[in-house]
Amino acid sequence: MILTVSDLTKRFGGVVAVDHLSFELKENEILGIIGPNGSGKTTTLNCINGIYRGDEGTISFEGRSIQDMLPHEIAHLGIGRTFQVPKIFRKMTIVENLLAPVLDSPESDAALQQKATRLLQEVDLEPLKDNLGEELSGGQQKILELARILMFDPKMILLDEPFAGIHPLLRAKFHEMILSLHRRGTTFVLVSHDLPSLYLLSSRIIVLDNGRKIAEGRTKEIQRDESVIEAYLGR
Amino acid sequence: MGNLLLQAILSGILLGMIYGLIGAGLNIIYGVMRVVNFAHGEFLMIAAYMVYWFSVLYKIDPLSSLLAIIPLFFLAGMIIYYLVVPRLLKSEDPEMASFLTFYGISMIITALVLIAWGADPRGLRFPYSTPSLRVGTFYLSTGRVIHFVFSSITALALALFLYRTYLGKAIRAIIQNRDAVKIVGIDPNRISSIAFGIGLMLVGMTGALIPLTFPGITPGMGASYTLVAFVVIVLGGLGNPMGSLIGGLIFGLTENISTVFLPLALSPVISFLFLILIIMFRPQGFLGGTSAGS
Amino acid sequence: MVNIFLNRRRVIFFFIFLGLLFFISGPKLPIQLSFIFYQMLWITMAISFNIIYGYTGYLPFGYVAFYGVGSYLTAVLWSRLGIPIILSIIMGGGGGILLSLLFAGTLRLRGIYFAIVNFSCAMALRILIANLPEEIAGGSFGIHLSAIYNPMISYYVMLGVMVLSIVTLWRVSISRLGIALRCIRDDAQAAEVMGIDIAKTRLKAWVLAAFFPSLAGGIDAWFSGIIDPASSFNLLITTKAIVYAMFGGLGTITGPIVGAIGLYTLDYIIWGRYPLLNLLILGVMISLLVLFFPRGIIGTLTRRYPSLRKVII
Repeated sequence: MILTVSDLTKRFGGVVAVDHLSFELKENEILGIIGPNGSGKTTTLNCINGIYRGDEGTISFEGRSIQDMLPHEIAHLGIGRTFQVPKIFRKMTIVENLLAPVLDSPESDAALQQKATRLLQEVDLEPLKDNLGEELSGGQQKILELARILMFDPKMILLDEPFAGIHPLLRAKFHEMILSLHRRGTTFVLVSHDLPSLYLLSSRIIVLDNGRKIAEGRTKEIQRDESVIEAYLGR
Repeated sequence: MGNLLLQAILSGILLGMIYGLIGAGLNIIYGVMRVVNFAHGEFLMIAAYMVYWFSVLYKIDPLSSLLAIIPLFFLAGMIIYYLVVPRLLKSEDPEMASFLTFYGISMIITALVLIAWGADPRGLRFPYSTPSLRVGTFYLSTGRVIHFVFSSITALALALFLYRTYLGKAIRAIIQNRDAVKIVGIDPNRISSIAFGIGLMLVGMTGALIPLTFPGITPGMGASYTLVAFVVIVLGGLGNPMGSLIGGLIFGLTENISTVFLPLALSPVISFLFLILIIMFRPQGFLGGTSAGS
Repeated sequence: MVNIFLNRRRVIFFFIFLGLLFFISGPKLPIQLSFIFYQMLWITMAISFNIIYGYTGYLPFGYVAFYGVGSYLTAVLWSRLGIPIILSIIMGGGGGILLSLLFAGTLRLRGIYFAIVNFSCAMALRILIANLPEEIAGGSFGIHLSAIYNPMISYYVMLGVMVLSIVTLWRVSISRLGIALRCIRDDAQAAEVMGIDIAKTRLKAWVLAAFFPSLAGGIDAWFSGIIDPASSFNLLITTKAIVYAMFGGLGTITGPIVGAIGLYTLDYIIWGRYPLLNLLILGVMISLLVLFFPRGIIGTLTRRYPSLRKVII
């Protein structure tokens, strides 16, 4: 198990956003998380990431307990994260955006620049490398966000609504990127409302509602249980 | 020693209520629109000067001057709000922007007063008949007692206003969540301007009566009152106007009791120490308010 | 056509050459030496103020504390312990660094709280120093350094420190530390999630920004020959650093330099003629700057003419 979440609970004032949630992730799996708005999906990711600290429960990554760690420490363990609204550095150039996660790396500036250029070429963003983050389109920003994480060769990536509001062609490109990274050994947690993409990519799915896990199983099982899902997502 | 201590405690309570009221005004302004009014003390100073001139030129005593000061400062508050605050709220960091803007305003006010009336301290001659009251073995300055009584009445009125009237509740609602109130049909801008007016009105009232407690007024006196206001609101909890009153009492008592044991020159250090310690270790103040730390 | 001349390197080198020429020949010029000296001092103050405020967005409202500690430590070490003046100045700089480390814990506070705490520390420090026994720190009368009064050498030491501060800011801005700082300023949460240790990064900038004003305080003590608590911990020093840096444009290198030169010159002229107006003008400037020109001259220029960004750093 690369990731174990056990009894995770997070409250905001009177609201219980995540309610004694437990799940596990095997190495190189792609786990999908679905549920209606407000069911605690993003909060769960935030807890894994270190952005929030859970009120109860434990989270461990590669056997190490991480629920009390700071976000930058968790990033250094090899966990990357994208956000629903891409959190790129708007006033910095694309290249600088890519360099951000590897500033502590002992590699030389030249080597890092080379790596950045290579990544940009792979995602067809190389011609824009001196443009500012805010000058990119929404879809390009999402790609940049993902490319940025790849700079530090993450072991696990948390994706929060990666397909929200992007063009079908770009979506296909994203699928390709995720699958190719998966082939190379990366583990994924995928939060999405985009059911077709979710079914395509995930091997297992958990369904959240009001902070609790109400269903879990292999993709095919959950798919067959469409009625359950429609009932919740249709709300 | 015992006598000195008791005198200090009494002094502390009298001053505490005054400090609390100054803080309450600042707190309302901050709570409602996250505007850090660094010029709070300077407004107090203007009120004090106005009262001085009223008494020198027209022989009007401080309490009567309030009839003019209250509406004037309330109006000034609303005007300043509409002139400055919408612009501030648009900037990248409204808190820091307001901090710096009002810092600038505090300098402007001090400079204007300096130019107009010079740096020499002015003293208000005590206008009422009995300069001091005898209570048991203590002598209390009548001025302070009047100021205390008046401040207490004002504090009570403020509490009733905030908790019993629609407007007051609206103000408290905005302090808790500015965006949410729009849903309930409250116009945050209009209410905020009124809150600003109230905040300035409170500090104007205190400033008008300050010469009863501290007869000497100078152009530079604003700074120490701004500092006091900050300490008080942090003590009582940001965004908790009534908490400022408790904060004021705590601070008044501490400040006065410490003068019994420490040289007078070091007493501002107490204020600063208080501020630093509270912000570092209990940013929500003794009574808690809206979130304050990182 | 203009592009040929606006070749970035050439323009920068030209101005650097001009500047160095001016400051090196300072004592020979028919301008009052103290004017140029304080010009250099304010450039140094604005530049290092920019390192912390321009790059991290944290406003050290008690910035004068570094200057004050530097000047007092220098004066005390020289006059009470007989340590040679240059060494005293360096140790004064060290004192500033120590002070910044002492208050490292405040960097986790929200911006406005940091400003208030920083301010309180500076004011408390001033009162404490003023109330130290006279044998140690001269009480409210201060300390004389007239015995080693040497305007020429202290002038050139200031020049050296100013150049050092500018070079430091430049090196930081192009370094990984600079990138990290700008990331934090852009989106602190994103920076964290990308593995940037916000606390440590801010601390590095904080310590760097503390070093130069402390040195400047010590050199100023030497140049002017006397210090006292009121002038060493004068709140206006912080105010001017803020206004000069903001006026020029935060987050750039040319910004603080332009701001310091322009406004200090203005200040010098006005102070000579209308001393009371000084406070008024500073107040008006701060309010107007924050409300209408938060990016300062350089910032507003680069916004209007983005191509200038290639020339001005």
